[in-house]
Amino acid sequence: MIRLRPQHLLSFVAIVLVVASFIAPPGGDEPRGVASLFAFADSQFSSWFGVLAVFAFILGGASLLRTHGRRVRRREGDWKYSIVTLVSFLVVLVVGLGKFGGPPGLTGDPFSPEGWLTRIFSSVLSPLHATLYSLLAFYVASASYRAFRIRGWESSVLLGSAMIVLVGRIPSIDSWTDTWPTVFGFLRMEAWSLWLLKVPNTAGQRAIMIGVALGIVTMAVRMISGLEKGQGGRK
Amino acid sequence: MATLAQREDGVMTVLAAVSTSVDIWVSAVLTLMVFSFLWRDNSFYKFAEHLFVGVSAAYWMVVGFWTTLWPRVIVPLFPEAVTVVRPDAPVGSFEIMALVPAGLGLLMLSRLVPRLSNWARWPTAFVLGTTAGYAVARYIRSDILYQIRAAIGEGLVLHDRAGRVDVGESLGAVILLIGTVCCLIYFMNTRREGRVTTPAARIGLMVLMVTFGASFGSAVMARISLLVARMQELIGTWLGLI
Amino acid sequence: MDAEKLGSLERIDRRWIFLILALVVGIAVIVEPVFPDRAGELVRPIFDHLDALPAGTPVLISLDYSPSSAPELEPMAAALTRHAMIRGLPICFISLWPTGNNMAERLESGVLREEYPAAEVGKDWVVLGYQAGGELLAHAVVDSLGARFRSDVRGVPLNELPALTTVTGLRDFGLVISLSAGVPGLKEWILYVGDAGHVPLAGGCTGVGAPQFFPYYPRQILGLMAALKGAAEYEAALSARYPDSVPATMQATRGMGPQAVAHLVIVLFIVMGNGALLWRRWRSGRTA
Repeated sequence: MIRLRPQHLLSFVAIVLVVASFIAPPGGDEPRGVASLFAFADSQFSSWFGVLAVFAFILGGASLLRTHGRRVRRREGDWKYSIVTLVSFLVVLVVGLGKFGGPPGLTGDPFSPEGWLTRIFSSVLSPLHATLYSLLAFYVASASYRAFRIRGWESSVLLGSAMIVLVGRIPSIDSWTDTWPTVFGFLRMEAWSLWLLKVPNTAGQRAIMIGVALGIVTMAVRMISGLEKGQGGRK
Repeated sequence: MATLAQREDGVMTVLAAVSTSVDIWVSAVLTLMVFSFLWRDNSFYKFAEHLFVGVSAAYWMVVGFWTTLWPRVIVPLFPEAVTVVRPDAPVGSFEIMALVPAGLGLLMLSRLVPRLSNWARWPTAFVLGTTAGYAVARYIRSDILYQIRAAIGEGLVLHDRAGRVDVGESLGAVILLIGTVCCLIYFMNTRREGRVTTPAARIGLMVLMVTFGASFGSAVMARISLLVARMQELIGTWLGLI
Repeated sequence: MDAEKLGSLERIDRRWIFLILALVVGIAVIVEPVFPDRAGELVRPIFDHLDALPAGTPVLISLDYSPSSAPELEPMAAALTRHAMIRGLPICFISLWPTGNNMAERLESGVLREEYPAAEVGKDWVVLGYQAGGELLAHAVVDSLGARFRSDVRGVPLNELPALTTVTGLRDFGLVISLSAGVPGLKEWILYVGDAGHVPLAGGCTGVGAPQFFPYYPRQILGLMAALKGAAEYEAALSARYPDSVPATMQATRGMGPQAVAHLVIVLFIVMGNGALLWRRWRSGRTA
């Protein structure tokens, strides 16, 4: 008797979906007979995937509670800041699930402008998120001055193309270069920038894309056939 | 709004109109707390960072619950629950298929209990199988076949709208094809040296350097945009200087 | 300048660089230089396609971004929204990201309700919002929106929304546009919707992601708005075509002034950094 293992579920689901891609593709004719079964499976699997994504969020939240709770209990490391994390987590959870700020009860839209969740989003989450990422601008500037050095022809080409893209994307530079005599037309940076992105950049990106796609397909086939060790695979 | 103004020769000039909105002040103070990291790591930054972690984790859970879990699991399994959110909505019927994702989801949560964590391999296998199954056909079509078609499909001699040979576009198409092939040779050419493959790999490397340079230039643009937006928020919305 | 001073210049404390950048950008934000722009080769097809759609043809905009990418992508969303309102095209907002509902709410309060008070939700625009599942959400609604959405975010059933009376699946939209900051985003729309379902698709993306989408143009996406510049180009096209119907200076165009100044500063940093290195090498070579 075959003992069912997670690998069997993985292979079954993947094979059903690969077959469905061919015999019941989206945008095609209404599937009939066996094809309709595969279309049904496709629809159900994609729906279940979405639900599992939310359970993954819940798992993440629970792990966060456990990790930071342990840190506070044991007074480890920056445990005082862990209190900030725990309190903010619980406040937003209660406010969001309870739809505070909206109509009484749970009848309102959790994302309405009057709701507390939206106010927390716009005054706390949004500025923090944006500012954390904007710090990178400073580090990019610092790297440009202190680290980005011409050490050989490879770095020269890389630097050169970066500068062409940077200068060529300045607005209205084309309005200025329009006034140049035709003989200097070959110096138009915005044309160079566009050509660079459309030709050599596309060549490199296309090659990377093909290589990555081959890798993804190979890995998928290995996972489906059980060759890949780890979750559900051979030990 | 608190206005800072000066009167000169009978003319009142508004210099700044500082916002008095609590939300905007909270936003500005948090922004400055994060920017303080540029000086050095400090408690203000750590506070802001930990606040962000807690708020964002809970936000994702709340959004996931109301947009997905509620309509696709809770309401199908407990049809009367719909009246809690919409009292005038018709009550549907019990949907047995909703038990499957609910069951798989609970198995996923078993990871939190060490004794039961092995059960979490089943929903993980489902997720991996779904991802692999959907990816195979789509990546082969869009990222391999269609890209090969784009590289050589229209031929290498291109024409403009008037029907004349467009030398620039044709040259670009040739360079594109040669560049793509040389880059692929560079990826594959890991050990053996050959009279054709080695120079081709060198050309491929050069093309990749241009690609990475373009990516770096574009990334710089993106980061600067974020900084400009934060500055506009602080200087404009908060301090009212613009 | 001797080698020692040059060496110290090269190893300057990075906080001076931070300060210079902050001052330059801050001054540019206050001065607010505005540079005219024009729609480029990749942005023009999106504008022309939308402009040619008959009035009443619904358009789908997927807000696949979060606040960290909103400075680049929100101006695109605002410009597209204005264009659709001017042309009488109902808009359907959807999102593959959890922050999508709040991003849509920002467009509703900042653009739709403020600039188009006569427009009605449900008739001129609809927010279907976010559901978990990433790219599989997009895949599921190719043939039927009802496969995942029973109502809009306000709880109004799909069949009671005038904006969606002619819509069953994604192919019934005049154009599907993904404004994408990462994964899931434009690439997933191309793989799961554009190529799989033969749906007309266009995209907007951040600067970080822009170079990777060039191979898809023009066969798999009809156009691409890349970074804040792409948004500014779309705004320029909109202003040129409908000068009386849009604000004089829109968000992206205002941002490109300080952006351009910052670009020049970065280029200057690169030149100065390498100039100091090359000068030091040349001096070391002379004294050797």
